[in-house]
Amino acid sequence: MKRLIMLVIAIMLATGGAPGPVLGQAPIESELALITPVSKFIHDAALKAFADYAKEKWNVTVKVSAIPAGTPVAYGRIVEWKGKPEVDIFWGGESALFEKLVEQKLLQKLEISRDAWDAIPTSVGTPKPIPLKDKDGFWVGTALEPYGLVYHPKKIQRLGIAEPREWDDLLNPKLRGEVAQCAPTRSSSSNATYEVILSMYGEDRGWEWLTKLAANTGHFTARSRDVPTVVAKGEYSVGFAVPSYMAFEERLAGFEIKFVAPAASFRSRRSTRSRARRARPPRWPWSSWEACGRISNARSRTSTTRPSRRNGPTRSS
Amino acid sequence: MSRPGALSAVRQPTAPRVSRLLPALGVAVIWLFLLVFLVYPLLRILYDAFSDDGGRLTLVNFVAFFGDAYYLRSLGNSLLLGFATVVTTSVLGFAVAFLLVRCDFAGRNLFSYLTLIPIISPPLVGVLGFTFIMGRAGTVNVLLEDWFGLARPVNFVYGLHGVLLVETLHLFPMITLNVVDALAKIDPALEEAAESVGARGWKKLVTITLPLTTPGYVAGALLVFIWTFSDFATPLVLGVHDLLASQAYLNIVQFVDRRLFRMGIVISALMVALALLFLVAARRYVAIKDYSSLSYSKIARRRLSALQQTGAIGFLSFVMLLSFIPYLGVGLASVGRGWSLTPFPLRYTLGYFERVIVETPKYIVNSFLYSGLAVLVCVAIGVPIAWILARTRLPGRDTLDGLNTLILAIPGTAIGIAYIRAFHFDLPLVGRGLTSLWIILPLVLAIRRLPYTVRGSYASLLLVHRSMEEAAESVGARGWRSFSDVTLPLIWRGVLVGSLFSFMTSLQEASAVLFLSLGGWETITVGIFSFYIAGSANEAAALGVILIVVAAVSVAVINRIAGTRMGGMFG
Repeated sequence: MKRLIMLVIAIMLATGGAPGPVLGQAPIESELALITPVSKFIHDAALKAFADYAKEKWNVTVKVSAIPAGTPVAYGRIVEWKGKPEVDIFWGGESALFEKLVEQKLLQKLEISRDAWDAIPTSVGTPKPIPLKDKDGFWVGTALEPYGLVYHPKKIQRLGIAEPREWDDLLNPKLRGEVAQCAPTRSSSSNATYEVILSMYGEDRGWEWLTKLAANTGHFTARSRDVPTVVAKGEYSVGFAVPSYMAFEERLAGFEIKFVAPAASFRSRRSTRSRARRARPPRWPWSSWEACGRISNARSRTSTTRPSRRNGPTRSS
Repeated sequence: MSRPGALSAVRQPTAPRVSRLLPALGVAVIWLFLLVFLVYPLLRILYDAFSDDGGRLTLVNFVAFFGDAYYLRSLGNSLLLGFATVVTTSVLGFAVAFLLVRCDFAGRNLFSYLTLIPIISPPLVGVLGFTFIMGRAGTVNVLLEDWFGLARPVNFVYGLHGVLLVETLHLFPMITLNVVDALAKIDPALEEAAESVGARGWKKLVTITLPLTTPGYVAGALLVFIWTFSDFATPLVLGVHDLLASQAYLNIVQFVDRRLFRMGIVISALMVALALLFLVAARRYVAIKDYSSLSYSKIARRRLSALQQTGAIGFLSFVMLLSFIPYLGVGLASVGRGWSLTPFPLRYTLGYFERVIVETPKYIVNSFLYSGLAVLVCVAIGVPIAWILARTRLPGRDTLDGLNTLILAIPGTAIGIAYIRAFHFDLPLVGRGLTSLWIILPLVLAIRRLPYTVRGSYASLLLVHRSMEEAAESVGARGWRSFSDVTLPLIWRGVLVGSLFSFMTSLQEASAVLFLSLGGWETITVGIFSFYIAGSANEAAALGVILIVVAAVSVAVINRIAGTRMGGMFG
């Protein structure tokens, strides 16, 4: 970590426009640290792939590490580091927070090859298009995935109802006290899920819907990541979930949890990646698209999915 | 305690300058350490609470706090929960202590060891283990549903009542330990006197015995209160957010909204202030009531009849069974694969242990490294502090004592955030902030766990009568010689017990370390949080089991060396 931090400081000073010693062209460093809400299962694989790539390409042994943190926490720590970050890359989360970081000059421009950059569309989706990359190149979207529901099939069966398929299935009176969710003030993905509901039904009917959902909610978890945990265990029957943050390690761990993406999950989310400093590779050897591919594999292998028409996992290049 | 004067400074007028300078230097180092790593961060967090983003002093944060119904409710709930836990742990703790000290029955020694075990329940996994057994899909509910056709699970744990249950079963040994200690110090003559004037049974208990345990009891009760008051992991797992500790944690870890972030700091500062208030109140209360003796008396235990024995063993077994629920849950989760909606896991694996021991040993290595270093600091700073408290009349002694007790009262969350605020600036020469150097972890652990070493050493220093050292000096063993030849052999047990306790609790520390840990520095407790956050409760449980085993061994050693006298550690 030692060398890394020195470099980060220097580069951040340079980017932030603050006076201070500026190192020239950054030499190839031997450490890479992430801060990310993306599931450990995925980020571990990504980091390992990066280390392998660096070994093969430059014969450098890279020491990789990650600080797992929910999106708001990760954002907060970056802000609190005040331009002297302890990590290199922030991977994951809603673009709003990335824009706030750009405003505070806490991000550095990405170096992605022109081709790769141009291959990513500027925005996607209707009625309100969602940007997929920053116009000034400070961040880039790495995955498009549907918001959806996780549920415990055995619990659902015990309650004597059909397995949920649509958002409205959450309002079934038999699910009273069986829904787990994270407050939208505590999680960017919960927040975005509320947006899905609100843009689907409009303000009034949307809030009415969410109020009904509140009546069925038995537990507000501290973080959105806890929702699949409590559902997998069977503590609660159903809840909201986002694949790549959660990657359903519960499924790999032998739980019976299932995921479904309702057809109308049209306010898609985008996992965003940005660099807190200059990174070496000219493109992303373990790029998000690849990581995203992993997720969709993991999911199709492990749970029932109904990819929505518009927002199925995207693959580029 | 009985004679004034710092030994070498006063008694050796002819000694060279150096030997007079050294003690002064030592005292200066101790004070510097406490000022830099305790007082300064706390002042910093108080300053943050009383200032706005521009750094101007203002009361507006507190106005906002007390004008917000949700925060007020959180404050009310926290106080309610704290007092309720004190009540429940007191009832349970007193009953157990009384049985252990005053009665004799089969398995008494075993029970007195088992009673210590609930305290070592590791953060987060303890409560997780509890939900595995008592949760809506826990073993108990599954059995009720499968066998008795219960339609809906009984909610044992989710809510304030669940927090109360978990905290009670976790913390009652704090009361037991302190009361056992206090009961053991009661002069039997006092009780005999009571009996001679006709006070027996309840009357004797209520008018003589209980009041005599007050100092020990109040110390234990204060710790229970502060612990409950500042615990955020338990309520969050159980879905309780409207508590001060939960709000402090949630507001601080989300830094998106700067106003909420500031409120988190304000709440932390408020918690420090409240803890301080209760601490002062408790000390005042004890100070006017202290009539216990310092020496331990020989205890006459009442041999129970067969029926009474069965009752006592049954009661203790039931309490132990309840407080071992978390361990059962954690143990099963650490080896059970895909355990859901069955009373016990159906498939078993050692893969989780392999992952945390073989694949990523860093958690264990870091934990032992940092806790080991922390204990070295504890001994280097703590034993001299105990010496100053017990043997000198140096100015500032009371402040030193107060600071030492204050540490016990400060919520770990507050310390963690205070360190981030206080030490995130570039140090001269190093060119980096203390917060980016791993040494900050052993330092914060040392500060947090210092009181145990100090108290362990202090208690045994009190038991070494000053006259023994004087006797040594009268035959020419001065200063260091009398210390190493006479005092040290007599106090090493206390020091060892204190340091072991510091070590064990360092391993368990989570709240402050969580705020300060960076990639590569993860300790076992941070690993537990990381795995839990990543949705791998099983690996978290495996780490939890390791922590429990290490702590259980430490406690067994402590128990062996210190016997029932561990209570002094918390006082």
